[in-house]
Amino acid sequence: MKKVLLLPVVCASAFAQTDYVLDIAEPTKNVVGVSYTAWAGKLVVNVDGANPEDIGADPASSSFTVPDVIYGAKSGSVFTSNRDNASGGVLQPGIAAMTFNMNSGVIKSFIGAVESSKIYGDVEMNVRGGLIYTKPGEYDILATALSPTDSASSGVAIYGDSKLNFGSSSVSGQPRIYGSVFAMGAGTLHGDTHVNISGGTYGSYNISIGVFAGSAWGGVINGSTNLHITGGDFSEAYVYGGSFGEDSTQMSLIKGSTNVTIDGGKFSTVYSGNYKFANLAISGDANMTVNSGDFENAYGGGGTVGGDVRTEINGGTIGSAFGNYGNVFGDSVLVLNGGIVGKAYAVSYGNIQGTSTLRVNGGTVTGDITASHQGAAYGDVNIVVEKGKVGGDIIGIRGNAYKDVNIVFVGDSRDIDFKGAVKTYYANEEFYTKKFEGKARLLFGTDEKAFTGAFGGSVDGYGNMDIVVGGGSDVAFSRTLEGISGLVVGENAEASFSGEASVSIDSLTLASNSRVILDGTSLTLGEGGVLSIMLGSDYDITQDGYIDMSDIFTLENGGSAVFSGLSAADIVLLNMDGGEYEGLWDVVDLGGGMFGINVHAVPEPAAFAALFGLAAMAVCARRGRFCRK
Amino acid sequence: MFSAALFAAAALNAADTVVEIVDPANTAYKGVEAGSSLEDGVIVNISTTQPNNSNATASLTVVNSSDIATSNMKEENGEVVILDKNKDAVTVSMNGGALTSIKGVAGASNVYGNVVMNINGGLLQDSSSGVGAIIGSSNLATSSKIYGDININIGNTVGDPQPAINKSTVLGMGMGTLYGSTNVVINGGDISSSSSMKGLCAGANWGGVIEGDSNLTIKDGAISCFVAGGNFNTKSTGYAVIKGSANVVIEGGSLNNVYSGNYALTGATTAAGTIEGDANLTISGGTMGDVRCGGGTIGGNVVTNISGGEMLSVYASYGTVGGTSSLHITGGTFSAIYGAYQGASTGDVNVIIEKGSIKGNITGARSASAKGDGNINVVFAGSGSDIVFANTSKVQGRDTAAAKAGSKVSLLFGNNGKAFNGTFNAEIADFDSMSLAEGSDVAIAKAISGVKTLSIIDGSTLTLSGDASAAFDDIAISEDSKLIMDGTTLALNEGGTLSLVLGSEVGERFINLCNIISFSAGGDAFWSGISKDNIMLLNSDGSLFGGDWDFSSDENGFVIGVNVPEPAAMALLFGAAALAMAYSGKRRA
Repeated sequence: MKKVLLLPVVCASAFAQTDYVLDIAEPTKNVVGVSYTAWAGKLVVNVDGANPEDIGADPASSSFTVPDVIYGAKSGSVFTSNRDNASGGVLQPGIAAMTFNMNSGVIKSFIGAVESSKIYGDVEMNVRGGLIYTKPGEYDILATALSPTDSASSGVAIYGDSKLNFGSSSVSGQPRIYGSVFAMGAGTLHGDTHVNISGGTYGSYNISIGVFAGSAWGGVINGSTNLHITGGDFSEAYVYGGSFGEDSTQMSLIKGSTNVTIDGGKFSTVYSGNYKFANLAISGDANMTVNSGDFENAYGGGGTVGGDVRTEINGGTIGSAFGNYGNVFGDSVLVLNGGIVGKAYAVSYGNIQGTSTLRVNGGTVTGDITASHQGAAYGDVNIVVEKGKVGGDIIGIRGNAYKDVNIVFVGDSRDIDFKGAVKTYYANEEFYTKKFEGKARLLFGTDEKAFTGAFGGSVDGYGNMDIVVGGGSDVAFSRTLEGISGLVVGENAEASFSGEASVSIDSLTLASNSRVILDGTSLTLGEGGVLSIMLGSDYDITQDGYIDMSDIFTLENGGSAVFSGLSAADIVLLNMDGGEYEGLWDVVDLGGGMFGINVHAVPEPAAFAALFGLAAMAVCARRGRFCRK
Repeated sequence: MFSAALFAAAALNAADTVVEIVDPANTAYKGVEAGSSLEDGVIVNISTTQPNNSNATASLTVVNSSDIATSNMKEENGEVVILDKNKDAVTVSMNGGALTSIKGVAGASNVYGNVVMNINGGLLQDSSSGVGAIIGSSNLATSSKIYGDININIGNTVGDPQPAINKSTVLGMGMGTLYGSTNVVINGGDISSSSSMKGLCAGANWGGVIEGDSNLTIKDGAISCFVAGGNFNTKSTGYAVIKGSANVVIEGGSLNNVYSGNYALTGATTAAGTIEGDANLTISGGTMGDVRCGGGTIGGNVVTNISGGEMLSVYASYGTVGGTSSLHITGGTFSAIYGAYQGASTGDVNVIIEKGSIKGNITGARSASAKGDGNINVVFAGSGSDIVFANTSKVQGRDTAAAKAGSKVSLLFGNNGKAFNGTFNAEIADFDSMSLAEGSDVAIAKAISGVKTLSIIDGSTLTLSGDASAAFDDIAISEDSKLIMDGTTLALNEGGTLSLVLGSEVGERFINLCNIISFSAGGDAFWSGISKDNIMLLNSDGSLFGGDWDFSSDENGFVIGVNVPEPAAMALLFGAAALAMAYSGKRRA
């Protein structure tokens, strides 16, 4: 039996837990919204005009004293009326459980939720004006200006999205942020992040720790991150679509993908992925689209990306564009559709397991394009040029590559402005040649699209580069071709060599219906070289036939084809599928360095055995020259 | 803004007195006025209506120099007899709000029932000198007597938010005498202290006495201060005493250092409380710092069982232990494991490992501060594949020669009828002995150094390969066991003894050591130069064989003949043995 005594009685006033609005005009220490309780309503923190005397101060001044940190929740549960006790999530998604609004004034930082707080809805932070300034060590060593959680709050859970909005046209003046900004800190965000920035000035005591659309300090984001910037000055703060870690042991994770879209602004460096440590992971893809803006560097990826890295540049001015950075387990694609890029790299700084592709579909690359700049490529690396201008060279290897490097030109040469050199290596030094275990190829046309017209570049393959003129392509070379290891001219393809474009090779593969025009130039197949003849798709293997090399080669103005010491053992007859021709054939010396090939029909299997001996004897006797199958 | 209601206690009928504290403000709250006498119990509920409870300025002392639940006792022969042992005389439930501390019983109080504290939510933050946040009885309760248990439950199992206890000390009991036990259960919440020398103790402090046990169970929560099953170490008239045992169970949570006994400063194990019984610890989950089994003075045994969890170093015997210390590991992840450290163990220290992942070293006795009279045994049993070492892990008897603990530090494979089978993937160093028993089959490829004696008995097999060449002062091997030197060398140090343990059937026969110790290519016979003076024959029970025996050896073999009934027969047997050996040598040639 229990009894409640009635005297003296001072009853607690009934306090309905509706939305709690905290208006802050002059922050002092320990400003907290909800702490150590379960609050049924939403929380709104408004900062408007706080510390007006500081607004004009120079934050970089040592005498500038910033106000204190504002916390949304400390070991508190916010908007518990939206808590789904059955599922552990929220009853109604898309509602802001915690909103931070700053229109003017000065604060040190705002941290949404710390310790073991639980937020049952979205966390929304709207910074439309004012100054947030955090000096290193004043809040934490990072000087965190804005974050849903802090570094020590791994017990925080936000059952919604994190939405950060900066800048506004409706308020005079744009915000100034000096310190790090994180769309999530430690703890778990069960939704996505959405960071939208239309203006403002951003800086950090450490330029590389600026604005992150991901998490920090081992935080986990169950969804994806979305960063959209339409304006602002980020010249003193790097921008990331992914996460941050103070050291290599912190394991922040984004279970979805990162999506970065930039339509304007001034930037130092932007990453679609994470800060530099491998333990910072994105399970999905790292995507970035740049439509406008002024950048020093733009990196695809960062940290570890489990999926693909895709970067598309449609406009803007970018000092250097990097296809991938860090560890990538999928493929990487860097597409240049427009804009002006100083230098472009397919692979840089890290390891990529899949294929790396850099496509130039438009725009201008004023400097070099490099396939493997740093790090290691465990898949093929492809550079594809279809339209636009490449002002410098196209270089295959500067970093490590364990498979092939393919430099591909497609389309109409008139759409491509390239007068540089295509080079297998950055320089002809042992340091670079040791970094490459695959084969370099310069390809004109693909299975999907041919290349036609003059190729304006020179080539230096350093002994490891094949030139492949794909089926249906028509390429005119006129500049120097050095260090070429092989030449392939595919079906119905034509390669013409004029001017400085004499070429010496170790292997030559020609389709029976291809054409090679040597206009005052020479093509030399070196001693011990291999000549492969592919039967074209128009060739009928059920009938005896004859391939006349002089039909393939056109020698003009003193041009010459030299097959030094070529013997039957050095010739291979191939089907169009690349397999060796099954029937009999022999070579006819036509004199003047040219020859032909008698190709005998492939017999039916039953007749083959009976005919084999007679045919072989007859052919050898008739020609008295090379005879081989 | 703050509304608080304090219901003064008044004894009206035999019923509990209920005090409601809503939105605690800057006040020293009381459950009952000092000097009260209540026939029944007192209940204090703390709650909040405010969103912000981060400013802790109020304190609560529930009972001060009062008699509570007097109707629940009678006196017989001058002794207090509790009528209902389930009676909760003092109950505190905190569901919200902020306090600096809660003290259950203070002054010269008599509480005739249990003291229950349920901290379900809110903030406890000690802003003063850090005496404590939650204490079953206070630091000002020298003469208080609690005729029941103290039950402290922190954290709730029904949802968030969990409570936060910041910059504070949590004690199951303070001063005075508790005639029952303490039971502290952590279900969740954040618990931190203002320094590394403050934490959570399920026992008492300031010379308090617990007649029963202290029990600490941790199910969840983030505890950044140390936790101890026994007493805290503030001395008043003396250090606190638990007359029963300390029992700690850890099932989950994130913890700092753990003491199964009393909290004791490093290197000051005597300046701490006493547990007259055992210190028992069971860990099945959670992450934690160092696990110190024992602490302060333990009159009985230190018993630790670990089946899961991740921890830094584990010390099987910590402090002064009157009995034995045993650490039995069947799971978990460890940075390092130690037998004896910081104190003296009277009895043996046994570390038994059957499963687990060890990132660092296992050490029998650590540093000069490990002392004691008993032996230290490091035992491996079960499957080698269940025990995962780091590539650089070492299992060592003593980490320095100055480690005095243990008259003998031994490494054993196989224990209590359970063999160890498989590859042992750690380096072995500095044991007094290394033994294989219970039919163990052990393969070692890492270095062995500084091990004085080797014993292989009970039909066990030891295979040494790779870097595992070794030299021993003494080697003992039973007739039914095998030692396989796979490309390694085996040496008997000068003056050493080779002991052959005979099987149960002793008769006229030869024992060819080549059948017991085998060498593959590159291996090296060690017995050249051994004389009869270096050899001992032992019975299966370890006693010295009393019969006649002799031996013959050359570079190809080593034969012992035993139990020859008469000299003539013995001579005949040795002739045959020599012939057999010669034949064997020819075949090899």
